[in-house]
Amino acid sequence: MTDTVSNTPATAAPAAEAPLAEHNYQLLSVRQLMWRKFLANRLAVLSALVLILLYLATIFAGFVAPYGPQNGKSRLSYAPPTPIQFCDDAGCSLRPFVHPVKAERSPVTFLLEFVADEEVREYIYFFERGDSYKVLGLVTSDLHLFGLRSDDARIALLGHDQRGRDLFSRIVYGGQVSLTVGLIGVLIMVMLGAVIGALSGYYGGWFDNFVQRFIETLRVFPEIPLWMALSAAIPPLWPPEWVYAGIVVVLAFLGWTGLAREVRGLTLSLKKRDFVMAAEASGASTGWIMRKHLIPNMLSHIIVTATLAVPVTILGESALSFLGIGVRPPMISWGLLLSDAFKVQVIALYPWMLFPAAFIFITVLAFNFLGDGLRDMVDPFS
Amino acid sequence: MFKNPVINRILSALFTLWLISVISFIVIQLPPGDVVSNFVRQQELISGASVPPETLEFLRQRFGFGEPVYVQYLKWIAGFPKGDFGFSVIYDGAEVADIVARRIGMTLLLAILALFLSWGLAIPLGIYAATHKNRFSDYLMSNVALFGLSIPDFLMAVVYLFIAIFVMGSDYTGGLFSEAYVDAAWSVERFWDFLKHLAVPLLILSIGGMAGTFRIMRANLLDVLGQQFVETARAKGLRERVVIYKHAARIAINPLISRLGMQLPVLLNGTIIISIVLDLPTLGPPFYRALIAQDMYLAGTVLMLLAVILLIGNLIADLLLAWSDPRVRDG
Amino acid sequence: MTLLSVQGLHTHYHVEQGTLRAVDDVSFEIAEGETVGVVGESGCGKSVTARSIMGLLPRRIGEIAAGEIRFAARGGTLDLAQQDPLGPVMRDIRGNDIGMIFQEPMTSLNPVYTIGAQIVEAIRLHSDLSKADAWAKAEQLLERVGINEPARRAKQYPHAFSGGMRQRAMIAMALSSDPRLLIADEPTTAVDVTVEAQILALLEELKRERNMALMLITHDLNVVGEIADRVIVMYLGRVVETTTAARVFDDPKHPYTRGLLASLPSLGRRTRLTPIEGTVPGPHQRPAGCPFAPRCAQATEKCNTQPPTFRIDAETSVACWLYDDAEAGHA
Repeated sequence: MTDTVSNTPATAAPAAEAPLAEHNYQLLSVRQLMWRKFLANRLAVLSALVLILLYLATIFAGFVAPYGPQNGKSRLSYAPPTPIQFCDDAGCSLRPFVHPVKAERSPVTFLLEFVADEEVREYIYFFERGDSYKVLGLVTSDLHLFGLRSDDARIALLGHDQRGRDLFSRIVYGGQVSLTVGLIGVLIMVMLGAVIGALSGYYGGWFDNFVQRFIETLRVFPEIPLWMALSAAIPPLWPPEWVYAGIVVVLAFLGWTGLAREVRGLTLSLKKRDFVMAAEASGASTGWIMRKHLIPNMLSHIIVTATLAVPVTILGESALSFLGIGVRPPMISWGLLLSDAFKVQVIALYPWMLFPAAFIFITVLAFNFLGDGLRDMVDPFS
Repeated sequence: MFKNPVINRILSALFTLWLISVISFIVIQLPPGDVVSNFVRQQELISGASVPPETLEFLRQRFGFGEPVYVQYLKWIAGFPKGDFGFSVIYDGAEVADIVARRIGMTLLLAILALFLSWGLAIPLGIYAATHKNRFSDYLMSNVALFGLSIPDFLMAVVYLFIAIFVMGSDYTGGLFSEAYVDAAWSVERFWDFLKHLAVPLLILSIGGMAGTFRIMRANLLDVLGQQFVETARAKGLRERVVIYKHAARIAINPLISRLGMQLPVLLNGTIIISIVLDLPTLGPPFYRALIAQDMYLAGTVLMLLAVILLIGNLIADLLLAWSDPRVRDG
Repeated sequence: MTLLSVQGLHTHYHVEQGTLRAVDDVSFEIAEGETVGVVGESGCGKSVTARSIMGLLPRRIGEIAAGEIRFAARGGTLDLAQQDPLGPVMRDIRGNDIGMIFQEPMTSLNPVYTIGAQIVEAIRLHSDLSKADAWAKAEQLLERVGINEPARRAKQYPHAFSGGMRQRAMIAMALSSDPRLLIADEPTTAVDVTVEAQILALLEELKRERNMALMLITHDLNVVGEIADRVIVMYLGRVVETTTAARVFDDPKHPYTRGLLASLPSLGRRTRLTPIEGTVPGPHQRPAGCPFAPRCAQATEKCNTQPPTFRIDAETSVACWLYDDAEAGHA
């Protein structure tokens, strides 16, 4: 790090205003400070890694999931998870295996119950062939990260649902909706919010007035009920892709207002800065000033706000789908999977049906930690 | 605009009210088909009886079906002064105003109690964390708060149902009263039963708000503690406790008040959604059922009412802030 | 008689990058009724010295590592360096025996309490006056520091006061318990030149009237020249020269003091201003020997070791090897 140390007054100046006003130890560039600050926040780094992993699993959902999302066996309805094992009564093996579940009539209650078949070892093989799928809608493959060789026995890390489908596979596929709704929704929000906010702040006048009133009104509506009302209006007969798009639009419809306000405020303050005035004085066009001066200066704020908006959007989709007014089958989302669990007897008897909640929670938590870390990062002198 | 700030403020509030009614009306109009036909269909489905033609004709007249949309809108809002917000399909044609009136109290009660609970817990914790900055307890509390922020209310409600039924084996299936007390008159026992049922939903509601309030209180206080007047207070010889509470925390609370406008919608969101999951007698369940059944006057009116509540909440927050901060009061 | 005697004070700041020796072996004395100017660039440790005396070092960051701060109080002397900064003894000294005013009048007063209430708080903290008597005294004080209509002004909030008036109010507050020492930390840096002259005149007057000692911290030699009796020049946490106010202009000894003087504009002198070469090194690049050596035109081999303080005569001592031949000895 020796090359980063500098004695010039230019880099030494900013810290002079810091609480310890008597000391200047600002020796690194802003970019290095930001990166350092981010890396120092271990939770933010960990969250970034978790999110990368989740999104990779979503892109390669077909490969990660051992079964197709609709592939179920009715005899395995609500069968419990099959834990991965290395050892059993018969000894240990280097290759992990599972004991498949089988239905047995309970000698006490005479009800059909699932028990692990201790007699049978089904070994887990990696890079197995199985259900075919498409990667990003382009490449067809039938290679899976892991799977069993038996046609009959099945591996279900997180148990089975009512129709005997592997919950883990369905959660992995569900991420394709749950994880992308947030990103795409926020992308739309950022574009709407940044453009409207910047225009509003830059031009002011009646346009600004109208936009501000409109935003104010939208913001007095509690978001979840308005989301519910708008999404309930999506015609039930639409194809799933349209419904998906509709949900994204509904979620983005409210979210842009916060960003627009922030961008407007930043534009107003930046507008008064010397470098923008200088550009204006030298005859630069509005578009040029926005692209070259305003937007780059606000980018860090926008990124932070957007990162923190993603979990809100993900939660919105989950809540809507959970209530049955979001995406519909055959599409899968974590909220929708969770709605399967939302029947009292189901939660009581088959608690593993709550696993999708854990995925929602982890994702939202990771985004919040990441956003928090980013916020500290863009404010490196704090 | 006008010179007088008060008139300006009132005019802008009226304009916002009008926009709220327009947006609510758009929501009412969104689903295909009109509400009267929907009513006829539902009635036939439920009771098999058809709606008398006079009633039908009256409803068509009243809400202007078949006429241009703006006429329908005007006819709808024309009823507001008389307390007529339309009729409900799922409640057998009952007045929307009646259904809403019966449940608005509990909705507000839950939201406001949750607000008090979250502030009552979050402010002292925020003060503690800020005055113990960068120590383990601060680090722990700050990260736990992020956890709290990340658990959505409805998930907590679902998990609570799971714990109540599966772990504790109780016969709780939601609601705010045990079966025996649902229709009973108020008594000590009924009130106790009510409190027992209220506690967990209230806690669930408060956790999200608490986490947010805690984080802001901590950040505000850290900000204030770095300001010169805190050192002035210390230089006077005041006890550290007085410095923190009387001089620093007193000011750190002001941004919380101005943030009420953002916190109230979150609390109402939570109240609505956990009421749906836990079947609490608030506006949540009828709103949800109305949306599913496309009972749009009920749904639209609830939505409008929630927005108006928040508008009033914002106004109160502004007044509170002016009362609490002389800089705001004197403009 | 000596009021305050600081001997071998070391104040360390523990920050992320390591330990900073903000004040490094500083010794000086202040007699009763004397005005002492402490001069140096920002970062030289003059404010940290004042905060060490007041017990106002940032908690968990600043620490008095060694040295004595003897203050004549309660019929004896008290070593303030040994006291718990938050404890009752220090709290009784602060605002009572030692008053302090700060650089930023705009932020030194709490914005949510009236000026009167803030002065009354200080008065009642250190006396048994009733509320009414304390208000009367506060109004007298405000009048004394030159605020018109003190009764009305006392009921106003700080935002209704200009910067100069706030600084006057701060002085009134600091004087409320008749302190024997007033520490003024750059009291005029943030105000206009005309106001600066008024404030300095006021401080001078008040000091004479009350036989109070004044420790005036400033980066501006001119300010010192106007009202100080003696001058302490600091550089990088060390005292480099102690002398009288008159001599600092006529016969500065230390090369750094000379540099400060040469960079000072003055009326009627048509010479070119000469800034001191180079910049103050960062706190982690403190030179091993004389801290000023890297910027000193007269530096020699000897300067690689820290010079002791050489006493030139009864009034002047200087920490520079140029005065090697004078009588050496630690003060």
